[in-house]
Amino acid sequence: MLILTRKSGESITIGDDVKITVIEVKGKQVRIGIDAPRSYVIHREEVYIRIQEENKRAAAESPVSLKNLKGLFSKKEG
Amino acid sequence: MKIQTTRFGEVEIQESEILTMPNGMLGFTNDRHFAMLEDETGSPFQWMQSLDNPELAFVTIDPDFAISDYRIEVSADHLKKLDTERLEDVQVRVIVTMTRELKDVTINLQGPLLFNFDKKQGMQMVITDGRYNTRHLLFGDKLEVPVATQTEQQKPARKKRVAAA
Repeated sequence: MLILTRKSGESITIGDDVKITVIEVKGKQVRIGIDAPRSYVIHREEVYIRIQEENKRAAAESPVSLKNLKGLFSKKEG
Repeated sequence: MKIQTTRFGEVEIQESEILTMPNGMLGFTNDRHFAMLEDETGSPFQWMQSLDNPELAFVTIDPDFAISDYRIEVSADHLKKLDTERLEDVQVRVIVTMTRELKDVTINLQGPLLFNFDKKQGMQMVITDGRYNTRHLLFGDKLEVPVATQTEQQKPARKKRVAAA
């Protein structure tokens, strides 16, 4: 991992179209601004990981037959 | 064309049924091509089978069957990724996580799947505003309902569930 030291107000550029700026450092929290094309998907890592993990769990536990579940829906929307 | 699947063996699908997810799914970014297979029992579930990996399939469901007031905000960017400008072209599915006990079956409301079935494009969206989580109980208290009821499942009229951001 490349590690750079930056002060509040300073930036890092990645390629031609991504700029990351340290907006504020306060105690243990750092506010970061990101300028990137809208097509880049940016998430807080914990949200990304949560959905990734749930996708993996869903893929691992898919049963072959859903037979037992069918009847459960007959009263829905009623 | 014939596709190979671990769960269902060889399955015949039309080339026109192939859905492309250019970014894949979180955690499965190598799988870009899927086909929706109806569940053999005629339940409201559909299998989203990867065409790039015979072992990979997700159980999905139209959230209308599962939750009455699910609202997500679809942005112009999402529409662009789905190759449309019209909200009406967007269909929503959520992924079901099966468990040993029915009461524990959950749906992922935080990472819904958006599809444009006309243009065969799909994507997984991430909802970050805290309203929804990845493990919403699918059945909740509905397990009180006798399982033996055999009424034919009616698909609910499509509600306006997506709203422009």
